[in-house]
Amino acid sequence: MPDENREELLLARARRGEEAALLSLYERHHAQMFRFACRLLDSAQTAEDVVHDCFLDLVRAPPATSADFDAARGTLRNYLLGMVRHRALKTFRRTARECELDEDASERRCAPARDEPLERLLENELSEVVRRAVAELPPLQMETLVLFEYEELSLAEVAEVVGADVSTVKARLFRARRGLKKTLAPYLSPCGAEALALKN
Amino acid sequence: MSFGEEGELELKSLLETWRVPVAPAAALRARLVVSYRQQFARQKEEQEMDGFAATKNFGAGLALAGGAREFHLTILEHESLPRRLAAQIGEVARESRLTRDEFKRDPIGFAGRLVAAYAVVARRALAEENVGYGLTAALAVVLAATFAFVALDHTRSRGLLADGLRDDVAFIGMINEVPKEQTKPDATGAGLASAGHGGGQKEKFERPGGGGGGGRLEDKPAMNGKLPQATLQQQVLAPDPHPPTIKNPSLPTAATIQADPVLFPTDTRQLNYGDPKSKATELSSGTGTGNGIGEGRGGGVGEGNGTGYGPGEGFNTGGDHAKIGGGGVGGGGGADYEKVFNAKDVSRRAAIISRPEPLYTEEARKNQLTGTVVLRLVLNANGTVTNVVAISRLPDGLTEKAMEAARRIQFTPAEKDGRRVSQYATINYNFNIY
Repeated sequence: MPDENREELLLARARRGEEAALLSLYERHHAQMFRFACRLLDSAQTAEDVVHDCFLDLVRAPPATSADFDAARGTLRNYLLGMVRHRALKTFRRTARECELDEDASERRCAPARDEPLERLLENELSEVVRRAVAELPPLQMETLVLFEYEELSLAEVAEVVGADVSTVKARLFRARRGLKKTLAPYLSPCGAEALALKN
Repeated sequence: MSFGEEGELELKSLLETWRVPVAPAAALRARLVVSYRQQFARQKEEQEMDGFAATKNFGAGLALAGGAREFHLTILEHESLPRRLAAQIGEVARESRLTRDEFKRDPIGFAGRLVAAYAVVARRALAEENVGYGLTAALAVVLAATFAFVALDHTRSRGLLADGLRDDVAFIGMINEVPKEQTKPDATGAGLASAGHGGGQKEKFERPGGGGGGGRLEDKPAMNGKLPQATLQQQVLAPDPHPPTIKNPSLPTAATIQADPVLFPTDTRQLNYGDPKSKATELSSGTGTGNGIGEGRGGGVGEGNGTGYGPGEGFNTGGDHAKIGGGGVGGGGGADYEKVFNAKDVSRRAAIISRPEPLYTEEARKNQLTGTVVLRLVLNANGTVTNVVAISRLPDGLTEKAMEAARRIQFTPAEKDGRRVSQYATINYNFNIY
């Protein structure tokens, strides 16, 4: 695969100090990494830090261990998402989600504005409800769901990122969905349908 | 509720409502570029340092010139002092400029990496040829010198004594037991003032006991007067307030009471004998029997039975059965310094340094409760507050609050005869709502 090769080459060049190579890698992957981190950590500021640190880690001359990126074992995108996941889990454990108390962060979390105030209000409310429901999932289920549903990775790719079997990923996904259906039941039931109807 | 295909779809569309902000691409890129440059510069630096470590020996004084494997003891001869100083300062400035941002971002990680880097340098230096031998040799020399010095000192000090350079000094042995300070007996309060707590002629503190009493079956109570000489000898002549009636006795005999003389200083006043505690002024030896003075029986003074003084049996003073007390050599009595004293009995009262105010309880505030809590407590010799007892209480937890505050009182302990003693104190806490 030429693209893969190129990514590998870009990485090697970036490690040698070529800024252009790093920026090229950054442009390709930062958006997805940021989204993923944002959903995992619930804070745009922390997500930004995580992405920043991941890229720095990537181009730091690595110790000769098996943890380094190896094109034979997967794509660079999945490797980067794995790094984000690793860092996010670390941050997650350390901060225990104190950022939820941060009003600033909740403002930045808001969905893109729409013209109609009522629609915007409803949408924001719904977005907030979903965000909370997902955030309440256990971390492993949550990251699986985010990767699969939001980042639209295949099951095999998700397995690669989280470092687990495909069957494990499936099970986590199933449990995550079941949990969400339970918490979001009022919004899925017929009586909550108008919320959806309004949205559409 | 069941979820089929529709449920899945519904869930999916519901999940889609959670949007996240778009990545601040430009800002993040700028930040990343800055960090990247710093990191890269640092990496180069580290590589250089590694190379540097390979060509430079451990320690400032050891340097290898130009990569040649020639050993130089110092670098002093290669550069002049100002140049070396300038080079070092420049190095430090450059390093701090490069590392400042990194340090701000992640101080712990930075420190870790720094330590790791220096460890690498040290390891490499140690791995250098002959450095290990050199260090071991240096250590051995220092240790040997220390031992030699200590050994020399030891033999010399022994030799001085053995040679008998000081004829007037003889080595008898090492002093292992340093005698403790003798507890100073209480000079006051002997026998008369606080009978029962005083000591006596024995060396260790011990309460004296015993007493005496007497009287000559007179109607009036014993008159006030001085005590006769105290002695532990058998009593020969009982004291009598009446002036002696025998004119020109062939063998003048002084009246005595049989008590520890230590507790009764000789009273030289020109007074008739009597009971020092009596308030009666009329001449009488009291209602007791046995020729003494007072209401008791026997030849002593007071309300007891026997030849001593005060309540109690037998002889001596202090109540209860006769027993000779102890308070220290040469002392008048000796007080029990372990006990808790009243404020009037100490020579310097405890001084309260800080007295925390108790807080109101919520219930008391609601009930608009005011009043005073009176506490009695012990200000201990060791600076603690114990035995807090409420004498007057208030409801709604205010008493407990006051007690809690009282326990936090800080004070200088009371003193009696130059030593710290425990003292009772009464503390009032006023609770007012303003």
